[in-house]
Amino acid sequence: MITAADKSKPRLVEGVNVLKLAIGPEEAFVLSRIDGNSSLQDIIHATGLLPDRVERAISRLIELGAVHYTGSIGPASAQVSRSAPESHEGAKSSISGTRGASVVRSNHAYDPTELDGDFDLDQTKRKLILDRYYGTESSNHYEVIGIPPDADRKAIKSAYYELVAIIHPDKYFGKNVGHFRQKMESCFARLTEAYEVLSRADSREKYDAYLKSQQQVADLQRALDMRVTPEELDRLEAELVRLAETTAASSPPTSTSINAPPANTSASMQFRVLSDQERRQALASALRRSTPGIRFGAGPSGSAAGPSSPPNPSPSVDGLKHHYETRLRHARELKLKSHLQLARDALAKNDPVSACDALRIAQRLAPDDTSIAAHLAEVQKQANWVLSARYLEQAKYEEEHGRFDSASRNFALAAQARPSAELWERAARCGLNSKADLRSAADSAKKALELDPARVDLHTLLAEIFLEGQLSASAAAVIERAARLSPNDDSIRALRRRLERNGT
Amino acid sequence: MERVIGIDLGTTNSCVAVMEGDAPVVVPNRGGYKTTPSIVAVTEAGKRLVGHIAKRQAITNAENTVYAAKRLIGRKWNSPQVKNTLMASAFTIIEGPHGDVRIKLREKTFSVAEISSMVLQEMKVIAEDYLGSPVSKAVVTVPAYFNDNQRQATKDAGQIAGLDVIRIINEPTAASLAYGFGKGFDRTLVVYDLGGGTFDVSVLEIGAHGVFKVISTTGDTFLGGEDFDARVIDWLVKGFHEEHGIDLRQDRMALQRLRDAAEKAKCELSSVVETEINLPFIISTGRNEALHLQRTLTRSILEELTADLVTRTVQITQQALQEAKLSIQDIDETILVGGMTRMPAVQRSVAQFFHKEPGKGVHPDEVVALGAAIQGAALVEERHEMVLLDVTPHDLGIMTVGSHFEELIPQNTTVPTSRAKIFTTSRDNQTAVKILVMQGESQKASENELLGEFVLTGLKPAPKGQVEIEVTFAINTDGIVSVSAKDMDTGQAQSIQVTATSGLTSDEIRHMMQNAQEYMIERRTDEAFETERQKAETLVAEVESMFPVVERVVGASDFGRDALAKARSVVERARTAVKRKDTQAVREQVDMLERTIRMFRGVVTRGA
Repeated sequence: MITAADKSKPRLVEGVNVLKLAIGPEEAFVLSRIDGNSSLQDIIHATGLLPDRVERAISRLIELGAVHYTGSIGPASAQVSRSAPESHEGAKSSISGTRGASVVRSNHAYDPTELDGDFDLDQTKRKLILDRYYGTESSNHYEVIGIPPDADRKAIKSAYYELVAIIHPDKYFGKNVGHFRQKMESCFARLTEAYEVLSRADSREKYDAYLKSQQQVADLQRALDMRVTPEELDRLEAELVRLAETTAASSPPTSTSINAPPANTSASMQFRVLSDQERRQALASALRRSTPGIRFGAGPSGSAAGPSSPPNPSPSVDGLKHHYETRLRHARELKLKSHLQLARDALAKNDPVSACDALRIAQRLAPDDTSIAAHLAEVQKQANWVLSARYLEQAKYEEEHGRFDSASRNFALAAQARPSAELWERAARCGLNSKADLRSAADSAKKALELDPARVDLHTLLAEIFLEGQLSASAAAVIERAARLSPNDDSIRALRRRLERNGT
Repeated sequence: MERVIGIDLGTTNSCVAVMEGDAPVVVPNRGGYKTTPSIVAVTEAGKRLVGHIAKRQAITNAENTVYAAKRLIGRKWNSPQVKNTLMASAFTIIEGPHGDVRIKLREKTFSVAEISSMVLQEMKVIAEDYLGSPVSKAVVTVPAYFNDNQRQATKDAGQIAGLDVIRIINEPTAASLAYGFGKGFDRTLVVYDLGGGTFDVSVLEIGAHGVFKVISTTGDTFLGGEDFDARVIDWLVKGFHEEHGIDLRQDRMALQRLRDAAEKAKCELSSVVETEINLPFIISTGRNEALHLQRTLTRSILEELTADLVTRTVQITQQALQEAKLSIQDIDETILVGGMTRMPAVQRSVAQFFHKEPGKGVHPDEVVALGAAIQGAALVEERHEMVLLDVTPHDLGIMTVGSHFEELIPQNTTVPTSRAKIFTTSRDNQTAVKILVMQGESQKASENELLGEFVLTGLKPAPKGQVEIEVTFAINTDGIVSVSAKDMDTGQAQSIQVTATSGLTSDEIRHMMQNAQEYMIERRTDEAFETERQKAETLVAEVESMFPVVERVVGASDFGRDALAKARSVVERARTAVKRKDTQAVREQVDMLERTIRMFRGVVTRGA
């Protein structure tokens, strides 16, 4: 079962010859979408295939040894993946919960061969260490220490001290524990980081606010995500069928047939197919109500209904399909009306999140209705506005704690909704400090300049970013522009010198 | 099972302790003292002296007696602290081959680590004599504020002395360990450690499961008892100069006497309000007259002379609390460590600052060694449930463009810790990247301590910016920095060359270790010889005292004359063996002498 917060990222196993794999077109298609950066959810959406088919394909690929989940090949690549863009700041500041809701730790995949080896460490301990080492990357501080978010200071200290006594590497001083030592040190550092934040009232308060705002962002992001989740579709389909049944009771039957139930619904329906059982039952009860004379099987439960009965040649299959589709259309219209109402109610209550949800489903129900699309776009803007406040909060917290990479991204997101030179500038500065994504930093700086072209310091900032990224020509151009604005500026002179030193 | 010893390698005095059952005990030296002066000397005969015996001859052999080597260890030649020490010391300090510091004693030159290793070796011998078995593992303490170079040099000193230093721990942390071990405390503690040469303040949390966690630590590695002494010396020298127009500093012997007197007076004034400093014949005038120095030093004058030093310690204490983000009310207890904390002015200031009396029941001279012994046992024997969580005292970072200091691991980060950073090339086909690793709190790299130049070599030729190397900076539980690197593309380890550190090379250390071993062998041999020699001399004396009686009783008979002749030759051979310093021969003669005495006794009783 896929959860919305599933974070595993499948990646290709190195050195595998794809051509030699015993797979079919569907698996090959899924394989083509696996790049180590897309989560299972992303791949489902990218392929447009049904979730369980994708899962099956991936399982097959894993079985064949072509694909594995990140973190499962061993310490070296674990290191590399841990220093991927998200955790640029390294082991000490491995970012906790940047992307929202907590992740169940025990679910984490790692290569079980890591448990092997002739070490002075029992298996329970090894599992504990590996679970912690791989499982706490996206956990928040509370989860790392294993306390509820409302724990008091004493409980936090007690929990921390207890854990320290278990995982501190000194407990195995002089013993042969191989690669586990480095992992213990890393777990200990993560644990201590969590404790230092939670043990002080001021830093804990700020962190709690940060977590809360992240949760809100996650909610909003989900709302703004145009892709409908499979659960929602299931729900929708079931509701529609139920509605089809009830409207059938009030509308006259147009044909009868005890033919085999309709084959897989046409592609235009875009929904998951009901199970054969469900479909048969729905149809049977609908038709039973309309043609009292026809009997299906033994009793009112309709257990033997369906293909076992001899077909009646007179009603046409097309007629039945048409009848079914009409009912479905009515049901859809009803649904649409109710969702639009939901959206209106939500907006009245100042809840752009729920409004977005409702409008999204409405759009699915009536994809050609431009007024709905326009309304959705408008509500999205409102939600973005709310979102941008959250982004700004997060960015400030992250900047304060030196997580410049995320701060830069969040400032940029905030600036997109509420453009201002100040926000773009902050995004650019954080980007420069983190040195991670200088291109985005440059873009942010440029956007700031667009809004406030007379500011020399914005020019110098852009120039610095270019210099940092070794783009001397661009840096030179910006410096010249800045020099024209402010001919005797010291900082410009310093930049010129730096440019010369880099050599063009 | 081999025991681990805990050594407090102090600026002025050192102390060694070991776990006995569930509690640590301090091991006294042969003279019965619990601490040993950290003093090393070389006599005119080329003999090495360490400890009390070195201190006693310091005045007459001032130029070849080294004290307070800890003030020099791990420092660079052109640092202000070294210049300071140079001016105030009677022994010769010169520049070493790595920009480090060397000390000249008689005709030989020693590195500072080597001098300290001699003190460590002495403490090792003290422990071995007490335990009756060899010792090879130790936990050695350093001031919490020591930087990486100083810690590494201390570890080198241990290695040269033939010790496997399994852990370097900070002095205040060790003290807190001795204070709280096995007592089940749950409190926040401040350790105020004012020793002979260094000052540290640490704020710690002691909690459940035997966890001792340092929250913050700060200090001054050049502030201690020696500075208090220096103020007294200044006062004496100034007064003498005003009276007689002579600068006593010019005379090394006078300077040494002044040092001794100043230290003595300072200590006395902790229990009395005034004391007399008496140095007759301190110096002779141009006219060959001898001058005397006689002056009364009162407690209030001493306090005035040293007030600013005490104030500075209070300021540093304030800083430690700030960094810990705690207020005075959050502190449950303060403990005082180091001999200087016996001074009433110091105790008063601490009590005033914390609004409560500092805790008693902690022996300021011994507590650090006791803590070190506890930690040693905890690591090796595992029966003691405790964990020390210490912090790194300085920011760690690298020098970047424009001589700026980019911080990577901030001070007061709990160790062990590590931080990774990605480096890339700035020119096409660049094959090496140089990283300067530094420690310190200044924004300007030049004001911080350079730990080393690390060069990533053998990079693949590629356009600039395309080669990515992940460099990991790690600080281990000793507080010592290490750097490792990995090529991001291949995941392979990247080779690093370390250049330009001021530490000793492994060859140098090996050479010094050899010297230390040879010294130990020679010393043990000498000691063994001494034991036998004394035995021989006692026995010879006894035999000779018996000659007249034996002569009288059996001198007339052939047997008697024979016995006496044999006895005389044994004595003669014993004497020769002693003269030749032949331990084995002496031992044999001792045997013979004993037999001779038994025989004589028999004769004498029969005859009587």
